[in-house]
Amino acid sequence: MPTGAPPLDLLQLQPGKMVRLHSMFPECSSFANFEIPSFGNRNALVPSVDSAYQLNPEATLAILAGFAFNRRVMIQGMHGTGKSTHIEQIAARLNWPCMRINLDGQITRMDLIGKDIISIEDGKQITKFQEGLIPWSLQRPIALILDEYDAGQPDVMFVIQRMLEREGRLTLLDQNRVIEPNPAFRIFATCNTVGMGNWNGLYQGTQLLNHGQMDRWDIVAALNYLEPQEEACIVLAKVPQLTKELVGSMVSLANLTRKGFESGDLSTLMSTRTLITWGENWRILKNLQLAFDLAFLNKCEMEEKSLVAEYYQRCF
Amino acid sequence: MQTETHDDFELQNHYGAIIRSLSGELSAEIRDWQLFYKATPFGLLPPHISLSNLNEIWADKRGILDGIALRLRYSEKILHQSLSPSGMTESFVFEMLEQIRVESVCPEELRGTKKNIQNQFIAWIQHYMGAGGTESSSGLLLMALFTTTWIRLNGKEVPQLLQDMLEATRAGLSEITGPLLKQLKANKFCQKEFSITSLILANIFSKLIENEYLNTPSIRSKRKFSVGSILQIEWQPQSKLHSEEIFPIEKLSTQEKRLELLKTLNNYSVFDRQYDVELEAKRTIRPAQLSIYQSELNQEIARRNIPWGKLTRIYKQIFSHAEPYTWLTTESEAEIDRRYLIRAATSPLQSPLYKLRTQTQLTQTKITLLIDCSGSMKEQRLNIAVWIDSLVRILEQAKIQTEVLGYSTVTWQGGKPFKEWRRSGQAPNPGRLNERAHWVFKDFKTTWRKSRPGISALLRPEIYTESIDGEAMLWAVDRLQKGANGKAFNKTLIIFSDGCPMDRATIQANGEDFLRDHFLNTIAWCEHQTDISLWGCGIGEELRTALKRRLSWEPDQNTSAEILFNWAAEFKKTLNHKILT
Repeated sequence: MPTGAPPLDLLQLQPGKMVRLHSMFPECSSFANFEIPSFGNRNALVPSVDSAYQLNPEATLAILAGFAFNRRVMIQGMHGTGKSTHIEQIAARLNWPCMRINLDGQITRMDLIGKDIISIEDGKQITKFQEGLIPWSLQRPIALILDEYDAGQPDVMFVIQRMLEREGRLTLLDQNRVIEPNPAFRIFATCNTVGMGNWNGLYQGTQLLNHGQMDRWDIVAALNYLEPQEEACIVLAKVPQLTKELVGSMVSLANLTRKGFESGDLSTLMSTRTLITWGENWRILKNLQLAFDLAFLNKCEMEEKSLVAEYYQRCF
Repeated sequence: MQTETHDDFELQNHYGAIIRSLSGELSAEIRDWQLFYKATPFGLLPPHISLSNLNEIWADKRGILDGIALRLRYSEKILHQSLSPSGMTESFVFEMLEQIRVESVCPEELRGTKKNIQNQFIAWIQHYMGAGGTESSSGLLLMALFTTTWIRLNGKEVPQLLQDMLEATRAGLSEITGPLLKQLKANKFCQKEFSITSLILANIFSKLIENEYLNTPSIRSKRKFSVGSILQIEWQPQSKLHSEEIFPIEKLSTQEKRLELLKTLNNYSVFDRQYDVELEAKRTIRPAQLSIYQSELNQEIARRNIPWGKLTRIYKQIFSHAEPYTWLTTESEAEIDRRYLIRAATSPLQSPLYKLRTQTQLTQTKITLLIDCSGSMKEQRLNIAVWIDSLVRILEQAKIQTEVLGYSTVTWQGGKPFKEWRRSGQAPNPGRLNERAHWVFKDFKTTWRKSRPGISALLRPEIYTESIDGEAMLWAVDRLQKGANGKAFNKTLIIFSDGCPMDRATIQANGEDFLRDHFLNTIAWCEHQTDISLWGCGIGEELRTALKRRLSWEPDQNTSAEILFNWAAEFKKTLNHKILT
């Protein structure tokens, strides 16, 4: 187990409680009902519940299908749509221990699987194998979230190829060991692109994914920006000092930038995170326009500023 | 050369971007100051949001753009068109009421937009009244209807002066319109229900106006154009729009479009091809003369102080794309390669143990520059030659292959085919009559340096005669597609032209539209080729809207290299716009 992790005996933990979809997640009441296993007690690896977070019904259903029926779920969406948080919030409500790994271009096979390290035992220098995060979590009832899945090197991502199959075992070549996955182990991934690489220049550092691997993800859910009313609720919950009208205009402005981005007129857009930052900046600076300049406008290219200014005029 | 300047390009793009974002309709664009929606012209807009008002001092530009955006967002075009009446007054009233409806349903969050559209509506009414539009009773009648509806739907007042002027008419109408206006307000969120009521109103008002002029014979004769002549408003019912004739095939499916386009292209015929020529332009000029042209061109280019390095970088960036990341192994520095760990321990002085991640830029683009060598282009030939030569040089340095082609006719007035046609009894519709000349100034294989004499042949005034654009475009596309040798290239064709095809003999024998229609069909065919992107530069007003992608041409060119920078900006902006790529 990685050093520094809380001393938990997760190995013995199993989801002992069954909850019904409609009672636990009323957002999904329009879909067919099913039972989802959940844990009775919280522990240090369970994320805390954010009551302001608005769950998207379709994405929630996809993630819950992953939890209930051991499906491999990938969530794709633009930045700031709350993909990883979405999984965490569902795990929090199910008391499911959760672990996030941020993938990047430099993560190697050794980081994921494990490596030989030199340590001192009984005053002697010895070499021993230390398991990486993947074999460690595979043996425990953990929801493993591979964040920025498309930023990982495609060749490195093959180490998890086998794991993506249900009950897929992991062979540790370095140790001649085969690891059986824990029945409550779940794996999720989030990504900005669907394995197509950086086609619009927005997601620098993303990779083209191998399609054989994309194929192993059972459920690919898209998480788009929230409906204006839901988004306004989130911003209001985070910055309660704002008025409802003001938040309405802020959300419309964000939606204008999103449309502008979609048609290629803007090279950047406002995410929910930007909206919250804008609200928070306003709380500090007491000037909505200045707060907007600092939260978003200065991220735009020089020639796009006039267009963003027009958007601003439309909403205020 | 008729022009669309860079400022025009930028403004249209900017306005288009605002309309796209506000309406959420990504296909909306302003092409040659006309609104295009789903690649076809939108048709006439109600007078207060007409794009021609953008240059007027009294108008609120933002109000116009926002009005258009709301129209696209809240009004279903097909439903509107299917219900639209054919009568002049009826269709005008129907159109105006629909626009007033969409403006009134603007969401509260878009406070600025709401203000803009209201300002523009009031500004238009004031301007219209100021210009004497309400001096006629029908003008007064319609304005009273529009203002009353506007006040009802928006719950806002208009300035007192306007109210005073319209009050008497409004009061007179209240008996007829009262209940209908109530219905309009109740149904403002339902286009269909609203349209039913507005159709009734349109009919009532059309009859009122008709009765008004029944006993005035001089005006009765003009009744058909009552909206245009009496109201001083330019208006035509939708079905009579000329623009739809240019884009008839846009309504079909992709497959049908292709077949239709091929069929229309096959309708074109040629009387006699035996005198057609395809020549290397420099071979028709004496070497001594050619060197004079070349030195003239060199002097002119030197005068422009073109920053070659900077432009090369810009163009390279536009036309290249990044290859996926790859690892370079056996490097002498960078990250250690774990495959060589043992070697690193046993012989650490051996250097190639490292790996480096790299990403290279690939440019796989071929560009054909096709120049219209018709008589009207003669005056601009020095400018054209300068920019063609500079562009070819820059593109070559950016590793882009180029070809420069031109087209005209061998002679004026039809040449030999025309004489033969007359001798053979002047059968009707003989097809193209003149001797077509296709000029090759530079082909893909020749480098820029070696092709300079060829490009300077553009300065020879004798090659500028008449022009048959459609055939030339097909010829250029054929050369562009053939030269790829099976490799995946981005193929771009840029046509430099100043207007419609012109060959007097052919037009006299086949009708005014024969060459123009063929050229339009060829443009449409090219736009539907998946592997070709077609651009037009300096294309005349009449045909400009047919081309999706356009480059600007400045009428007063100073000595700087501004135009090359402008083109780069236009390439970049248009390529970013996803609808067009």
